[in-house]
Amino acid sequence: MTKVLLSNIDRPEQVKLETYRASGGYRGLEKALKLDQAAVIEEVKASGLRGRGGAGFPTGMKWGFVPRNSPKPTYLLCNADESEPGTFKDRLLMERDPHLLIEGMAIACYALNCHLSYIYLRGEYEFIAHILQKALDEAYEAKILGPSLMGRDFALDIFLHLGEGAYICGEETALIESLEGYRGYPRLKPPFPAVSGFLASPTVVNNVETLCAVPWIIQNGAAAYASMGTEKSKGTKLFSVSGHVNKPGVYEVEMGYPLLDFIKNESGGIPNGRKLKAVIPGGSSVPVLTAQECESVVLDYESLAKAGSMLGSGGVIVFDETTKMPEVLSVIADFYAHESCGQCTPCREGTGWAAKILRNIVAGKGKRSDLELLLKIANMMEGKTICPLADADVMPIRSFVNKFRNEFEDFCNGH
Amino acid sequence: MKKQAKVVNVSDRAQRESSFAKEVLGPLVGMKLTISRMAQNLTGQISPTINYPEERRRYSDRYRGAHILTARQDGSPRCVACYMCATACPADCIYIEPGEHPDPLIEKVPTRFDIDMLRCVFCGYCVEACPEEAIIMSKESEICALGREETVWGIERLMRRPELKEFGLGFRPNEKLVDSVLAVTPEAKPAIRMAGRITLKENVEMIPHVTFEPQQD
Amino acid sequence: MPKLTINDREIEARDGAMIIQAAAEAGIEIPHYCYHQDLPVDGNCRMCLVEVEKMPKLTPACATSVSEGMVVNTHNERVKEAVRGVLEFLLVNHPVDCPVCDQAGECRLQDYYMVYGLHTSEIPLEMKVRKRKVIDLGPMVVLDTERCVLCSRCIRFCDHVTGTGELQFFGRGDHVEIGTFEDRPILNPYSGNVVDICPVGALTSRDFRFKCRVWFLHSTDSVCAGCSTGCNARIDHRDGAIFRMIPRRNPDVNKSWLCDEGRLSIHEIGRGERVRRALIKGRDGMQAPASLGEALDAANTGLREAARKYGGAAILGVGSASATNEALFLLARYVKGQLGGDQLEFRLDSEDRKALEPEDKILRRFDKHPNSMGALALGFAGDEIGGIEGAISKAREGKIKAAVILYYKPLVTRETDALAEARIAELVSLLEFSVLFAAHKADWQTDAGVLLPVAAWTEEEGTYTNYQSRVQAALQAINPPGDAQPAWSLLAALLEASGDTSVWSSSTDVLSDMKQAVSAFAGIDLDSVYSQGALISTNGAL
Repeated sequence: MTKVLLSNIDRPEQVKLETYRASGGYRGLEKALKLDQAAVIEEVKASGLRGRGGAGFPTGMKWGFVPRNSPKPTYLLCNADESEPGTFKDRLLMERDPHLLIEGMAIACYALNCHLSYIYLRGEYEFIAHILQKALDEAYEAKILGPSLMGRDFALDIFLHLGEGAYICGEETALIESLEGYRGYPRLKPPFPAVSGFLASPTVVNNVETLCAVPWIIQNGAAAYASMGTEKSKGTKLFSVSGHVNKPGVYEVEMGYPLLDFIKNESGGIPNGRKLKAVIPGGSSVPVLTAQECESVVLDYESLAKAGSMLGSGGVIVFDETTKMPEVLSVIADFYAHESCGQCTPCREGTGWAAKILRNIVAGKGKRSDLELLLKIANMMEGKTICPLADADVMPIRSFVNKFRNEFEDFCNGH
Repeated sequence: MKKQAKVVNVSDRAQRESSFAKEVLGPLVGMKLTISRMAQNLTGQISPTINYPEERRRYSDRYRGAHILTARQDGSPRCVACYMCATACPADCIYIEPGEHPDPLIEKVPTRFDIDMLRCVFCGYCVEACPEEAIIMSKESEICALGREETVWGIERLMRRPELKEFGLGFRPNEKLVDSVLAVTPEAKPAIRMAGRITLKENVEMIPHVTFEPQQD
Repeated sequence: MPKLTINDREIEARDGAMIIQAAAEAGIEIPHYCYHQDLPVDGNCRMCLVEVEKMPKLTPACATSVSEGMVVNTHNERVKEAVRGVLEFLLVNHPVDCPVCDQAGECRLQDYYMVYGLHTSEIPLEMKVRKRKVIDLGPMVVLDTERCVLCSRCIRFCDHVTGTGELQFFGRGDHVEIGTFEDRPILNPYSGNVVDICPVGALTSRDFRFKCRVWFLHSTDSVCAGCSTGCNARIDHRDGAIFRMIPRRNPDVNKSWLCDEGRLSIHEIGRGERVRRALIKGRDGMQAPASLGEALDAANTGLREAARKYGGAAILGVGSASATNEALFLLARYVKGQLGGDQLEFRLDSEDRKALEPEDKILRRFDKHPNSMGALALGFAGDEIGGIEGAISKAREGKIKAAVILYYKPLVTRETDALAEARIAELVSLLEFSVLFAAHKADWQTDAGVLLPVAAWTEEEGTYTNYQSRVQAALQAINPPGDAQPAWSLLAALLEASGDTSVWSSSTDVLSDMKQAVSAFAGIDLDSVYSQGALISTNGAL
């Protein structure tokens, strides 16, 4: 199978510019610079590449929204604030192949006519910051970045910004606020960042994985990329597998790969011959799938949506039959309660309240009526907030309680 | 066909049905209780009058007598000067001046709390309005003073109530307070229900949130 | 002017207005905490969610601008359910300590709970998040983070109105608190406003704290007399005592704000001894108490005699920049019409110049008197005298022998006040006969021939003309002490005693007469004087 993103990931010293160049690096950028800016966007549009951060919005279309003749500068921000529980794919890319990201960003900046770009790196990824900074320094030294991009009359500066460890700063408007130096609070939309984002200028925020796919697309053509995957979900995608599997890790597969086969073949199946109980297919904020539901599911945006879940960021968390689902949900709810920024009321109070109720249930102090209360809180939160963090808490709560209700009731029955 | 009303001649019927038993014994039977009480009275078995103030009646537990300001464990008033009582008071007899309490969890405390007992109509609204059970009522009904100014009771007077030993607690919102506040001995309990002579010498135990003056004798 | 439908009602809204504004202008109330007319939109409280046709989710009315043909529903079940939910969330960690909370009675949580909530709390007390209480934030503000609904109004006020940025959020999730860095005090001169805009009891006024439960208070519309800005305000009082002054919105003057000095100026009236009875100086040179009638007679007789003896030119009328337009108008009428004088003055400290000078970029002005522009419009700045110093030198030269003087203590104090008062004292001491209208006692007043007790600001109804030449009415909140009466009323009595045939039974009567008699006031609309104020033309004269 063709690897778009991980083809060179195991090559030793890939982090170094010369090794990267030797493996065909920066040829995508060279090719892009020969094309017209609009043509690059068209190419990305044609490839069918969709945002890999979680929402799955078509990347080419996002780039197309940026006004061409704006008097204000355009900014490209790379969202490297990878904090979704169960997701660690961007980390691998940045840790092992930082120049791939830089090349992807350079192509995107060229296409968007953007001369200043930032990588917003998750606070806990401090060790990656050193790797990325080194790669950036190398790129500057080699005159790839700087006043003239690869010798062209196009200035491009890429800066690295380290966050302070807030999950919410992965939300694009909160990321912008944080980068501007304010408290990481998501902004009211509209206006959307494409119109008024960073420093009230047109801004594109893209995920690391999305940008890393761009060099391959430019180099090999949109058609090659589009030929992979399914009709609507094209190309390949990274999946971070964790939980009860023999070989947890990051795997690149074509879209449309059956979920159960993926668990069995790629990640080595469930240890000790235990049975599968449930799978969270796209990071902790998407609805859980029961083993039965997993049977018909393939890994792409549409199939998972049809099964009532989401592809999200591709963080596959596998639970075997020994797992106590209320405990899992309690951990997830605690995470959202801790990471809620506290800006709007329903999320601030709702996530905390739900987490407390779940802690009570897990401690054996819950009542059956608490389950109804949990679902009521979920209803009260859903769709009432500025950003989707509340919804990210609602989806696991609702799916866990509804799909594994008897387990929750068992926990409550003790008292 | 139109129905015709049936005419009943009442006096005819009375004459027809009258008898000695009905005319004379009937009323006597009706007055059985009265007569038996009279007989008990004449023989001195029970008496409707008592030798007040040497003897006193036991009032109902919901009797609305002079107010009590309850206290916290440390002896400071439970009152948080919220003015609910003053707002509810129809006689406008409660005057409060609030101050800052050093504990931020309590925050507010009265520096003055006066009830003008002459203005008070003893309706008990203040007790019902109080969110903290800080004001309750006693069974004390004897409010005597040598001057008007003495009838305005301040915090000290409302909180330290040696008379409570004698009178006991009255109207208060929390019925559970009954047992804990006035620990009446089991033998004395049935006597409360009877309207006869009751000697009010029960053991009155202290409760943590009502402070009493230490016993004098 | 887009047309939209709110709750089946066709409404025409201003361009660019938000749904919440359009609804408010049409008399439809949408519940809200974080939205405030004079602050930038934040949209965090989620109370104002409304249903807009063709929008899949409920949308915040404070952050959605109106558009042509929009169909909005603010009171269907879906919206009510959402609002009820948000309210329940707000109360989840609220301490519900209404009995000790100063905001009780004017709290939005209480109000909306009665309309939308009425639910039973489903969270046990021990599960609530506890936060810090009773935090001292400087001379005006006490903070209780537990009661806070985190609407960020106070933060936006400090960021966008004063630009000082003292307040900020701390923490995350349901542990978010507002606060200042290291609990430093909020020292900007407008800090009291954060208490007013706080929709709940999180920020309470240090000055008003625990003084009175708000439901005992009566409110009177007034105008702050602390400086020439003339901020619209509301006086809250009970049993003849003033408890607080809070701003009343006037977009043309003070928006929704009031400065701290103005806010605290209510206490200045009670400071110092008041003139309660009229005093007449006897033959022995000592002042003796008299009834108002006797004192007015003595004043009239004395002044008329001085006018007869020395001529009208020796009579001076000294107005006050703190007096109402009505009092100044009648003073001018008395001095000019009845005593034949033609000299009027009011400037103790170049108020005419200072009135227009801003002290900062928000509200305050250097002139700490409410009515300098009114005095100017009524011709009190006599060119030939040139301020109080001119009057003093004329009195020294013997050109001025008698005067009718209005003097009020400034409510916002400055170092120069003592100098101004000393000048008035000097003038009084130089005169042969003076009639002094004063509200507060002072040593130098023993030199006055007749001392008349007058009502201070808040004790009388009257109008003031602010720096924009806007005439605004301040109503009477409390009764003046002792025999004191409004200055216009005493002057009306003097005029009547000396033969003026006009009858004025209220300050509005005087204002109506002033409208006819003074060209500057000719164009004002009496109704607007009592609402948003009415502008006068600035170059009129008596």
